[in-house]
Amino acid sequence: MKKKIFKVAMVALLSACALFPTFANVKDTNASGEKIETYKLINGFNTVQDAYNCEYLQAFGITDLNTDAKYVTEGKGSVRLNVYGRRFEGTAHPLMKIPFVVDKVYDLSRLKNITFDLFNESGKDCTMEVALEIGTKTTLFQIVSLKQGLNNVKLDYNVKGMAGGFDLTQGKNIVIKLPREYDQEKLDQNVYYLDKVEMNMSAVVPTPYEVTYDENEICSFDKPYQEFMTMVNGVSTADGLPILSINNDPAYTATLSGKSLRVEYPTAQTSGGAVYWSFAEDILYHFDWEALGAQNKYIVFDVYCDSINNQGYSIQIWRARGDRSDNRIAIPFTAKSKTWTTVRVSIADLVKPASDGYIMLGYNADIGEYNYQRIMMVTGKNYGENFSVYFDNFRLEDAE
Amino acid sequence: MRKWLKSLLAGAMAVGMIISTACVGNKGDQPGNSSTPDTPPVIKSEAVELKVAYTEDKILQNYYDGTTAKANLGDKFETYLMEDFHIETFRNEYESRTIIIRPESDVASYDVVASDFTCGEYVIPASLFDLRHQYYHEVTKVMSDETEMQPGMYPDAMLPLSVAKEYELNSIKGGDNQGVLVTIEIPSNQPAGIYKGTFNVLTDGRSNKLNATIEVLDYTLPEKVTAKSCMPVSSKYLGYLEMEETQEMYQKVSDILNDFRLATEWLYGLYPESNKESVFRELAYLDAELMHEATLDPTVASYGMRTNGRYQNVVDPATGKVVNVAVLNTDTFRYYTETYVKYAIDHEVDIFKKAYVYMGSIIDEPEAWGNLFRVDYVCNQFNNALIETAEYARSYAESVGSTWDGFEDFINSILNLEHVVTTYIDSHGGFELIDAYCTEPQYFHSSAVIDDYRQHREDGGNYWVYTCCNPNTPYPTIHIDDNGVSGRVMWWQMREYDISGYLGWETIGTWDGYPDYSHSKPLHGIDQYYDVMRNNTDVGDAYYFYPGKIFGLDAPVPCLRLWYMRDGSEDYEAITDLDERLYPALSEAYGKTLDSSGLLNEVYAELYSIVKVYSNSHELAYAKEAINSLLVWAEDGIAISDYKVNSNGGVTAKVYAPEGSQIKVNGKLLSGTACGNGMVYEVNENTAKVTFEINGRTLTVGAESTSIAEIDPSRVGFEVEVNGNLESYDKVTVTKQEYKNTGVQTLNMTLTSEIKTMLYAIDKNDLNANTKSIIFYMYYDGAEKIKATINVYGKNMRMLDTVYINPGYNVIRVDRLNDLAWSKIGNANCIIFEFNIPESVSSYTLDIEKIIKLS
Repeated sequence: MKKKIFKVAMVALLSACALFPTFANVKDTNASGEKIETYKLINGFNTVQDAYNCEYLQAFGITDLNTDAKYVTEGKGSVRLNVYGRRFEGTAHPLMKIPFVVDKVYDLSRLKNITFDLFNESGKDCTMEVALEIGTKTTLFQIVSLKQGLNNVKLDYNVKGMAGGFDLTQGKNIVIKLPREYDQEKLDQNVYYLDKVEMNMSAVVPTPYEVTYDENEICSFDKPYQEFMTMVNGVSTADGLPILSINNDPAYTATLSGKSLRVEYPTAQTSGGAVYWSFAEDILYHFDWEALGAQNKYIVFDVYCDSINNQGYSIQIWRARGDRSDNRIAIPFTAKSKTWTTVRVSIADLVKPASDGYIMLGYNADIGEYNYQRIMMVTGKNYGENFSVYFDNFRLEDAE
Repeated sequence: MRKWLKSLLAGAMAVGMIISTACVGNKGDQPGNSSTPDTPPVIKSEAVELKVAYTEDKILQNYYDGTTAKANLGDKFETYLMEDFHIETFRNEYESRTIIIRPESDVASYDVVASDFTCGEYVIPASLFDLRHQYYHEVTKVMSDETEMQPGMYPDAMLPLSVAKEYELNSIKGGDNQGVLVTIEIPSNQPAGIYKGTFNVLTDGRSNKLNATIEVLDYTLPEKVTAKSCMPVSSKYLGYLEMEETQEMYQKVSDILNDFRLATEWLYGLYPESNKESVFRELAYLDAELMHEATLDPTVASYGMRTNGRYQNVVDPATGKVVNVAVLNTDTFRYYTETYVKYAIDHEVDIFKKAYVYMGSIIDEPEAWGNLFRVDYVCNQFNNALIETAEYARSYAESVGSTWDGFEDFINSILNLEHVVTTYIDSHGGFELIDAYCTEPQYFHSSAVIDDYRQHREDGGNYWVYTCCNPNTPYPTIHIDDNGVSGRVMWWQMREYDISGYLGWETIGTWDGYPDYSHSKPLHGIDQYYDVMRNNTDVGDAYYFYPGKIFGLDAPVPCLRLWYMRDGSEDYEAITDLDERLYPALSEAYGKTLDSSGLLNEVYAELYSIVKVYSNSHELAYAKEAINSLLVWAEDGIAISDYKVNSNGGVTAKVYAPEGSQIKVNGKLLSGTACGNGMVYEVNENTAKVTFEINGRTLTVGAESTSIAEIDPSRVGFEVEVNGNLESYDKVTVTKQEYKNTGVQTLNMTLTSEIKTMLYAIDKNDLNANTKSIIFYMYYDGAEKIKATINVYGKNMRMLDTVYINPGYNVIRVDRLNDLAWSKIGNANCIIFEFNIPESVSSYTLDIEKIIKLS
């Protein structure tokens, strides 16, 4: 009887606690019975200070606390974002940074997804981009389509793959890019409301991959971890993005053995922009590209296009340094129809300094080292039948 | 419901409430009165003390909650507080006072309501009063070793009182001080007179009335601002300050600064962050449009034109090596200037006239950032660029067929565009090509170096003053943990030393830079009110604004420091108006060259010696009243000119006034003689303390004079340098004799360049902590001027000043000797002159006539 009373009492107690929605985080238990946070409300934007806890960069625009319930999905407020950006073409995009924890880092090792509600009141469908700032690096921006009105956005993260290139214990900010407005007469129309930024986490940290490199190997796609070493994205588009998978059919490998990367290009529904796939940061930061360039090394890989047409690409290393804008070199290559081609790209050519001879306004700006952001295979969107291109055996070789 | 379940649920609710309280925190929560059932109810005293403070006095929230030193400071500042609220002000001037509310018991809610102020039929309406709740910030460590200030809660953010009430910040803990800053700007058409009214201080509904008077003087401060200023506002911090990095918010900050008589560096605030020529030109056009407005606006004295730097390989002339250093990007400068020129010619408006360039990102503080040769290199680039710009202007004007009759003046404006470099004239032997030095206050360290700056201006250059982290007390600062007197007095120094502008870096810093920049992080919202350390060397530098949006305002909240900076700027403009408009006009009227400098020197002498400031708010108030008198008299056609303290310890001066004026000096009514359109009244007093009574106003300047250390050859000794040491030298003949048939007795000596020091013995108590000033009268006969550092020596030596001794008659004066550390000097027995003789002077003659002191 006492046991039953105790159980009922515990249920009642827990139920009572559930009546008080002041728990910001939901906790689970791990295998050892320890409480583990699996849900976190990152920011509900219920006070002006909640809005101030974020950063608004590059002439972002005007940010206010909104209390109009029409644009609130959590608590009593949301943040109103009237996005401007600098009026000058070609200038850096305005950014908003939402910290996981203000002025501290947060462990993202168990991250599953990030969700938020975004009201697009700009008067047109558009896209936004979201990345994570982890330590001193930023992940690739994921492009999210926004229809007018309420958008419930969910972004999944593969931390097994990310662990290769990031110290996931150093999670800092969610970085958001919303469309900017160049037309000075329309600035006040470019309005969005953001609320209920949350994250969901696994109860346990995924077992990290064993990452190994054979001599001169960049990525053979034969090793298990390499399935997670690639990502996709677009340049000025979220449409027609390639679909990546590991191919196990030897017929579509360069050496008729092992595995290769299959890159499917679906038919794009909208025009404009380009698409790419890129290596994860682990591969990007594993190599000293400038040293390899100085040694006159080449990136060499094999490529096959199953379309009846050739497919034109460029390989690019994107990087930035200090307060200067992105520095990109693009070297073209062709994936030939129905035949394997070996592509050789001089790393020295890829890391050539761009002619960026001016200093941003600032006081005694220190240029610093290059911050590498990605190695990408960029191509135009596909407006015809679906086709695939296979990539294999990325390796380093000496000059011929 | 079963009893056990009821109590269980009650327990669960209690647990939930505790948890919910723990989860919800609010830094704005105010402590409230509380009592437990076991403690007796507190009987609340309704006694409220009201005091009045000068704006520049930082009255801490509490002095008696810590150390003895802090309590002593409280006792001292208590003596500065006044019972009466009285303001004497001009038309078009802002004036303010702080009402200090000090209740005996806790006050849950206070308010202050101003009445209309009346003078007969004339009214200063209550709506003109700006009332601010002084927000207190914790200063845990004062950063100067020489300050008397102590850690504590300092007022800085000036929140509108209405906002403080709305956010329930208007409570006062019993025994604490709560300051309310009351500001009035007298309209330019307000009739002169004494206006009376009240401030009703309500504490939990109980009324405490403070009677007040505002005397509006019959003088209107000019709207025009002549003192240049450069307040860099880095727009990227607007995102942290107001969550709004837009030109509109930048303009709000600019407008607020304009209200405080200060100007942003650039008129268009947002950086281009681009490398495209088209963007630079577009930006310059946006600048030019705003410059056009500013050119026509008398409240804007100056604005910056843009430059960029770039890294370039340059040969260091000292080493011959090629180094990659930041220099002027002449390409982008050309894009800017060509756009400015085209706009100016197309609109026939000289937008270069008020402009300057501050190349802060290129050759800022070169001593700190290295590669000193870059200074002249970049200045040379700049000068060449201006020549090219002028040529471009001519060709463009010709191409469009301009008939602008101001064109040649415009060309001169281009060629004279000044670039301001944050360095000092005696840095590393000086720089050849610097146009305008912009120097921290501590580098105006002597009369001689100030003369060097003046010479630089005569040679075509200019000079400003700036603060950035440095200096600390006792030099003028704009720091939170410094009393505000020095921040206002700095503008008096600017006026006396003809310093034409002030640069204050940065205006809206929003980071925490303590204990060092490597740990610097942005401050979010309300945290900017809590964290006052933007740098690791000072409290409050690098920012003058607090977030307004956090309190529902549409603009940032200005700080108390801007108020006393404005007071200083207004003092500057008032004295400028006296010197450059009123006295010249009176000179014409009376047919004489009228010079206010002698009398003004007496006023300056009350506030500082050279640049160190030890004066207090009451001494500053006296100085302001003195200026008020001079201006009011000048408006009545009355000028006091040629004021001199003579070697006999007396004063001569001339008072020019309209016929029929009643001029009293030291109680005696003077008789005048006709002069120009009025009369001149000769002043000849045998004391250096003079009281003028004219038209109902009284002005007392100076102090009693005493001749000290009567000239006698036995007082004088000399030293020369032998093997690096100073040794006594007895080969100089010193005689007391008549100077060149003038009837004046002097101590005559002929010195050679090898003589390093002259020691002049003084008598016990000639100089001590009661001495205000010392004045030397001497003749110098030499090929060119020499330099001498004057020291007082007792058991320790203290430097008084370094001066130039010029050919002819020299009157060398040092003020505020009472500020010296007399406990360390001990009984002063000697004045030591250390000579710095140029190579061209091998020998020279000194004739010392007299030394007098004022005390």
